Amino acid sequence: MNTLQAYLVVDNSFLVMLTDFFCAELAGRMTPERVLSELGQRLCAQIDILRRFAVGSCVYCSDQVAGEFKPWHSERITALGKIPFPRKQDLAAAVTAELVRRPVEEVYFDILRSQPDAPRRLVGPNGLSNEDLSLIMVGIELTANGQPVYVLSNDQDLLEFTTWLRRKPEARELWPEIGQLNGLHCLTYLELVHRSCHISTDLIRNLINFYIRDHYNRHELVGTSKGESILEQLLSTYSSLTKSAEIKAKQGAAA
Amino acid sequence: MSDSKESVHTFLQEFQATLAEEGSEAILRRINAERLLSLLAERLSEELKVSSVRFLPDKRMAGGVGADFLFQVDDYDLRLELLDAPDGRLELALNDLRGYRQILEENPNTVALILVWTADGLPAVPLSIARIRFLVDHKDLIGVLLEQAEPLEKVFTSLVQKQIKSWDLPLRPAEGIGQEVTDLREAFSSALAAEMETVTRRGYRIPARKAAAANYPRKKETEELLKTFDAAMNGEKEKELVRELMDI
Repeated sequence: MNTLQAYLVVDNSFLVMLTDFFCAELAGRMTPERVLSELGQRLCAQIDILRRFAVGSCVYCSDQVAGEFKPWHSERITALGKIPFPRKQDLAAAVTAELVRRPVEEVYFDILRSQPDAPRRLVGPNGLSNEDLSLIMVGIELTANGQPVYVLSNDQDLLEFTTWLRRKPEARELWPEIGQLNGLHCLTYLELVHRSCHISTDLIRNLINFYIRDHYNRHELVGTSKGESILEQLLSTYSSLTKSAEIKAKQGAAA
Repeated sequence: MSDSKESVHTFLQEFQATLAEEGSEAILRRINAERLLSLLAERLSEELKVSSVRFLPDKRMAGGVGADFLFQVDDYDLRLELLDAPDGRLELALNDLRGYRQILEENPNTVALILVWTADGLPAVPLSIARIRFLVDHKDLIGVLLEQAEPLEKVFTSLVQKQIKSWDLPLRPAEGIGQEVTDLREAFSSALAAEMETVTRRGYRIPARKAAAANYPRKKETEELLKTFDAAMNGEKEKELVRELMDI
């Protein structure tokens, strides 16, 4: 089985990460409206790369999560300068149009939250939102086809709940193929795509670099021990990336 | 567009997992097992009567002699090595035992090294230096050890319970022990008093003896004899004791 071949369900955090990354790359190089246009093309191109690995060439998302993608809330897009609001709406519409949207009934949110022994932190008042759970439900429904399903998200809680749920006997009674469901960090999946030679090493390195540094800055970790720890992790990631690039080279040679 | 629950750590951990294993299935098994370990650590720190359970990646911290993960429980450690279990089959290579032994030898705070397989339920077995030495000498018993694997939660809880001291005993005086203490001085003093009573009350026919008994310096003699008794109890030499008695 190919590592990447699966039904793919993407979270809003995936789109947000790419939006901020490309926006940071393009800012200052062209007019704000031109940045927005280029940004849309790059986002759609990335979704297109995912589609190459997706079963049925479709990348899925729930209605609830598609509605969460609001580029006008992005600080980086706001920082570009004056852009008419409808242009930002157009960007959201263009990107979400690349996804296959699935409706999820609210009744499932209660079913998921009331699973026996579910970790309180994940299903309690400050735990997973309905939007998060809607993605898991889209993933569960896709498992009925008997093939692997990856939910791609940067949300740690969402990924942990997916892993917790897939092995519960009670969940297996309700959804016999739930063992096919897996949660992966968006960057992990993109890194694996990189190894298959569909993303350049420079792009994935810059993306990882951006993601970690952005997290470091946004959470005001500069000078703190946690911040130092993250920087150490960033450095260790560089050596890991070298290993990954070697794997990529081997795979390229084998192909 | 919120990312409050995003975790850089999650990605870095997954990234390392993709490099630690070969093949998509093995990578997914490892990623899922690591997440379950993290959730388990969180739950156990709430349930067990310990101050804290910290779950940390170990190899990066300990250098070459660390396991995959480190559970810091109060003031001692448990280390975890994650092994892949394709098709749920548990395997343990004899050659790896030397490395496991080194981990235990170089980390004296580590109570046990727990081998955990990525199969359903996370089956696990704890290893100590003695157990590893035994397995190296009895290679044929490795299979028996693997048959005894139990869910990690059970293995972990059992190891932690063994470390918990029973300080919750009731704070009342112990019964039985210590209540029948014999006061030797009191016994000696009582016996001495009884003997002196006998001597002084005895009927003598000879008047001189009768007078001597009546004038016997009972109090003074008692004090002197008890003083000698105390000296004996304090370990004074026999000769000295005899001399003291002769002086009375």
